[in-house]
Formats: sequence, C-alpha cells, structure tokens
Amino acid sequence: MSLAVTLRSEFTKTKRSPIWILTFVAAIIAPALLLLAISETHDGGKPSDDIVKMAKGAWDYYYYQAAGIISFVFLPMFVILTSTLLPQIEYRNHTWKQVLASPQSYGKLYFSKFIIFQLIIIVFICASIAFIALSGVISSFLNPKFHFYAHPLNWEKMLLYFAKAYVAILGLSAIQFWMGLRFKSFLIPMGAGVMLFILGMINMLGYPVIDAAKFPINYSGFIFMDQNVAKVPGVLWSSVAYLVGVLVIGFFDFRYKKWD
Amino acid sequence: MNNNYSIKTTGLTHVHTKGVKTLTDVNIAVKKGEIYGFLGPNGAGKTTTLRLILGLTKLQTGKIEIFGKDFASNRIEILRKVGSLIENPSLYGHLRANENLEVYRELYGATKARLIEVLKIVGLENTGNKKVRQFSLGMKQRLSVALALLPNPELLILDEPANGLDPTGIIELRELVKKLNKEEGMTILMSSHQLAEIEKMVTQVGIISKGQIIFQGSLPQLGQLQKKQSQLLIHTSDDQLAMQVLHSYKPELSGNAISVNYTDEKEIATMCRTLHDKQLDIYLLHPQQNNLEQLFMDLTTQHA
Repeated sequence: MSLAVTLRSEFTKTKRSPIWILTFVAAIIAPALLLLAISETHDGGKPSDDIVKMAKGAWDYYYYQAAGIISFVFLPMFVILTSTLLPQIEYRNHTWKQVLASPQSYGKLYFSKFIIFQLIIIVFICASIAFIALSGVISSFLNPKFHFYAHPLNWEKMLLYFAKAYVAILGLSAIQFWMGLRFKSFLIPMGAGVMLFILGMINMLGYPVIDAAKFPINYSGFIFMDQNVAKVPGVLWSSVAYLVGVLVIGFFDFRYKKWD
Repeated sequence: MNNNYSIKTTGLTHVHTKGVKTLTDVNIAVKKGEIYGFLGPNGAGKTTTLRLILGLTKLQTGKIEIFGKDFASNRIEILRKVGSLIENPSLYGHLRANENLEVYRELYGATKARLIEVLKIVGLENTGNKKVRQFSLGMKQRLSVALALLPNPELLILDEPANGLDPTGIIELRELVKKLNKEEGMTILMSSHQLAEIEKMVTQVGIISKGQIIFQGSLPQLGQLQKKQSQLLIHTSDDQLAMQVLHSYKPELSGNAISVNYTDEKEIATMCRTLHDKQLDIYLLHPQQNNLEQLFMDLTTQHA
C-alpha cells in the first residue's frame, strides 16, 4: 500500500477540524497588525518614520517586517498549537485503537501524520504571504505616501525569507510533533512548548544563558536578527539535524509506545 | 500451521505494568466459519485478549496465529482481512458517517460502493450532513459495526457490540451476525459479559474468568456441563434415612431438604422408586436445572 493512501486517510481526518480555521486566523493576525502599525502618521497626525523606510521599496520593507513578526512569534506559536491539536484528533475521539488495527505500517502512519503537519505549516506560511499582500493593498489605499507601486516586490528575496523561516522551524516542529503524539493530555506539549519558547526568547534577546544558536525552539526568530547573519547557515543546518534526529527518536517511541 | 483456524492463541499470558497478571495461559481456537462467543464478566480479560489478537497490546508471552499465520510477522496482510470493533466506538466526531468510513476505505482497499453498502446494512445511509458527535450511542455503535464490515472481512472481531444498542438494535445485530456468517462465510469472534445476549447466535463458546479460560467448546458441550450441574431437591418423611438410601448419589443436606446432583432425568425416576421402596413418603421432589445463564454465573463465580 502506498504512502499516498495513508496520507489521504490522514488528510480526511483534518476535514472540518478547527486546525484549518486556526491556520487562517493565525495567518491573518500579523498582516492585520502590520496594517495598524505601519502608517503615514503617528501620534495624532505627525508624519511617521515609516514614510522614509518605505520610500526605498514599500513592498520589500512591508514583507520584511511581516516575515520578521511571523518568524519571531506567530510561526513558532502556531507550530506549538497545531502540533498539539493534530494528535488530539485521535486522542479526543479515542480512535488510536481503530487506526492501529487498520492495515498500515507504523512508519507510514507516523510519517504521514508528520507530512500533514508540515502541509499545515506550509499552508499557514502561504496564507500569511497572501494576507500580507492583501494588507499591503489596503495599506496602499490608506497610506498613499508610501507609494507601494513605485517599486516592484523582490519576490525572490521575499520567498527566501519565508523559506528560511520554514527551514528554521523544522527542528521545533519535530520536537513538538513528538511531544504531541507522546502525551494524551494536550496541556503537556502545549505548556512545555510555550514555556520553552518564552525562555528561549528571554535567552536570545535579553539574558543569555545558553548559546541561542543551539536552542532550536527560537531558530525562526534567531535568523531574522541582524547580528546573527553569519550564523544563519549553521542554524538552518542545525534545524534540519534536529528534525532528523528527533523524528527518528520519535518514531521508535511511537512504534513501541503502549497504546492502552 | 493449521489453516482450519481463523484464530489460534497459544499460552497467552499478560502482565499489567503494575505487576497484575491479567491473562494466564489463554488458549483460544476459533475455526473458520464459526461464530465464537467470548464470554466473561467485566474485567475478566476479554478486551485484553482481543487487543492482543489485533496487535494493539504488545505480546509478552505466547503465540498468536491468525489465518494460520503468525500475527507479528504478517500484521498488515492479516489486518487487511480483519474487521474490528474494540470497546467503545472509535469515530471522528467532527466528521460525517460516510467520511468516517472514507478515512479507512482505501486502507482496506474497499470501493465507494462498498462504503454505501455497509452504511445501508446498518441503516445509516440517510444521516446526511449530521456529524457523528450528534449521533446517539446506538447510532455510533452501528457506524462502528459498519466500519468493521467495510473491508468485507474474513474475520470479524466484535468486542461487546451490543453496548448502547436498544432491544431492537440488539435483535438486528444478532440477525446481521447470523446473516454475515451464513451468507458471507464470515468467521466472527464476539465478546460479551452476558450469555443470554449471544447464546442464540454462537456456535462455539469460550468462557474466561480472572484471565483464565474456564470453558471452551460448543453450545451442546456447554449444555452437557449444564446437566452435570443440575440438582434435585428432595424432602421426605425421614430425610436421614433418605440420605442413607441415596448414598450412591452423594446427597447433601440443604436446609429442610436433601440435595443430590443428577445428569439424566431417568435418575430422578430411579431415586423416586428407591425411596418409595423404602416406604418413605416424598413431600418434595424439585429438579433444579441451571439455565445457561445460571451456569455461566456459577462457572465464573466458582472460579472467582
């Protein structure tokens, strides 16, 4: 039986689940915030600094700001939430026993679930890109001085931002995926994920205790900090290494877990 | 390997994580084409046995052969031909009835026509857009049966399938099980804690108590056991003398009467004649033949 059959089965389970609503709601928050934050006037009508920043290329600046916000906060939080919600489809409905009594290998089942999880993350990123465009179009009407259409968007650069953010989140996604499958209670993976994320942010931004380049929870934010430019390639490789390592450990844990 | 058996377990022993032995040397043999009733009180080890058979619980000691093949090394091939319903309904509440079956349809290699067919079999073809979370327990149970039937299995394992069904539903289920066995040749292993619920459809019975099989055989064999367990209550004008007269039947005093075991009704006549020959007046002659339910209760409580 092909992996595609198991994938279709896993995808069917997500139909009408709140995961898709969460994906699009989460994707719209950052562009909406950006619409409010970047404007021609600040503090009761004073011209804002944004006019100067946008003058060099409004779309590029707009997308860079959005990619930064998403990578720092919304993407990791979305990954933590989704990784918890996805296995809860089985736990909440008590369906593990039926799934494991069906003719599919543990490997296909495990990796199909992970692929569906990655698909949801990619949809979130794509939806974010689309909503940023929409936000930019609205902003162009609200803020004519930004001259959005004076410079075209550097698509390649923009896609590279998001591609890097995606690679940087792989390590966290594998860790959270494992925890989500491992624990019946959604509080453990979510609580642990949020706690590690906050501690990682404190470590990375204010009070360094460990090398942030070795802490995968905040990699997607790490790569957007100017002082970390030189470390970005290493961090991206490190994220992939975490992905592979944790996925393999997680698989053996899944395979030999007691499903009583 | 014996291909006459759909299920054959040898020496299944299972110890719970807390050190509690839940199964001891469980040997079950379900022949092809049988309806096997797996009986036992709650907590006897029925579900643990079924979970082991389906590979849901890790095998610790013993061997499981399904369709004459070792389960562990042929898991996927075997599961493709097995439909199951274990414990409570395992369904996705946010999906509709047909979508729940669609999740598994391709995994079992079933067609869309088969999906509609099994929904019709359980009477859920017209649930429309209703999500499963809005179903009654009985409807969920019926959908679970539909799911078990989806692969058109050679072996159907149903763990307490009558749970949540109303009396009409139970009768329908009984008829369905008989029909599937007769027309499709499906082997069915069905657990229950009530003998009355399944005695009308099963051909073989296995009774488990405290993790041990205490009876395994056909219904007529269980009937024989039932006769062996039958008692006759006698009260005469002189019960002490009657005890001596009926000495060979090993009588026991039971309140104001004498209790003797008998296996054949002719023995009652013989005892009656013997007492009459000794000039004893018979005030009471009361055969107490256990029904199967009572026998099941006796067997499981004796073992407990």
